[in-house]
Amino acid sequence: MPRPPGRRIPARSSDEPLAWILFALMVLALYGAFLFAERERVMGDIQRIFYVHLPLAWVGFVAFGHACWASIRYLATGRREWDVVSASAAEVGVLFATLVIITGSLWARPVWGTWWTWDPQLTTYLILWFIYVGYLVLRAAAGDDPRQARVAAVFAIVGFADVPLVWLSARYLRALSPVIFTSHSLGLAPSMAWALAAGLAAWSLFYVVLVRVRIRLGLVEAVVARAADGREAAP
Amino acid sequence: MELRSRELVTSMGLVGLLALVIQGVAAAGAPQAAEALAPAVLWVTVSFAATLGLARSQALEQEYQAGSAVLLAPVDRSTVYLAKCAAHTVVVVALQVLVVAGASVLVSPEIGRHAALLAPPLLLGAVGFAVVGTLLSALALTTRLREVVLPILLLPIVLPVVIASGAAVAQVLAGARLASLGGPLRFLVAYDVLFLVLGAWLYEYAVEE
Amino acid sequence: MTYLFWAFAAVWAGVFLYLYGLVRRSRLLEQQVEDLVRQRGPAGGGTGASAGEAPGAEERVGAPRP
Repeated sequence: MPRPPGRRIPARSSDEPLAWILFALMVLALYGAFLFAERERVMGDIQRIFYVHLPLAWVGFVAFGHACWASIRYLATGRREWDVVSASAAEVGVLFATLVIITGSLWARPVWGTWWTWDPQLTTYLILWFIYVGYLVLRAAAGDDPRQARVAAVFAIVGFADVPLVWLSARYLRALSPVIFTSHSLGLAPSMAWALAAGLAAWSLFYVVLVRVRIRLGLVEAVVARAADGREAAP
Repeated sequence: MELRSRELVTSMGLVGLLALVIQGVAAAGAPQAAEALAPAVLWVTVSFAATLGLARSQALEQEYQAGSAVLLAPVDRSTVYLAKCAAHTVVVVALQVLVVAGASVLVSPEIGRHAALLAPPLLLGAVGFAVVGTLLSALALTTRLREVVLPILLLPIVLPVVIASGAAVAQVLAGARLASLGGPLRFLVAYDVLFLVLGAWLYEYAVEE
Repeated sequence: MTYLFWAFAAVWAGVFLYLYGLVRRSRLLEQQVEDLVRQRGPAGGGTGASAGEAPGAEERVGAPRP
């Protein structure tokens, strides 16, 4: 049975300490968001959503970058393991993108009165969500067929190129609906900056741990599927 | 190829016109609003009709085995891609002409009056649509789900085109001159170039056996 | 503010739902592996690797949650 490239399987031994560090960082981030950061003058406590909304957005984008990188490697090498990495990153990424949209919407409602604003951030994440889902649909339909897996990989690359363009083009939405567009400019006091940094660190590490678990699951699934196929093929 | 294009444009054009009729009817109660929404109407119509058209174009090609014949030819994949993009651009532009004409009648005569200035954003938008659509329809057709999946794939990717072009159209209808359209138009050019290059690179991965 | 509460609740709910989904998938995988081992019997040298590897992975897959 071919061994997956040692470089790509996340080492199991480092998971335990990582998990504990993650736990500590999360507690720190929560403390930062609720107790350490000062209350924002204009919006009040609702602004604290930002300390989880921004890290989630950061990770959501990084996850897609990860999926795009893995897709490029998959097209270049043809190794199935990269396809698993890409799918794993996309799965975790769609979770984060969903949460970004939910938290963004819950933030918009009390502050601007609508559940939705067509500002660059929310619009980009909505499109990112659709691209994620499109990729996952392609990938699910692909099953074990390498040709269809390649199709999904191409789409991931195209999608990733598209995201910054969506963000840039969203500026022009202002021309279309000046009433709805609002700016997200926030002045950050030092205590807020620290809380944000803690959040970014915690959720970044969360992504690393989660995607490692997910990749390992995917790789083992692939191995088991191959073994099962081998079993059926045997006389 | 020519014959196919003609029947394709015809059916796409009909779909487009019907879409305009539906939107016109739905907005009949508020003619002012319809005018303001003209960019949306134009692009919604074009997007959906063009998506249908692209999907059918690829499917027709497969039906007539034209696709594999072209791939067997000793020609670089990128060239095939560029040729297809050009063909699809022409088709989309033809569709746009029909839609603009129809919209002038059914939605607002303002659209027809500004037709000349509307051309650059619409044309650049058509190129963007065709460039991305050619690649993605090739992708879509190799999957089990076939053409059904094309809208899901194409529309999110093409959204920046719709936004930028729509903004330019709105400005034109509000009376702007060509010079002030610089921002969106430059964006569209950048988009077109980027995806043309990306598409040419990725096309062979999309169609290889 | 209730919106703030719901936002954080949604985040953690989403995270735990996904993790639960992963746990279910790994249980399914465990089942598959057990089936395979039973089918192949003690003779399969090649399966030794996957059978030995997979249960270890199952343990580890469960471990990172503190």
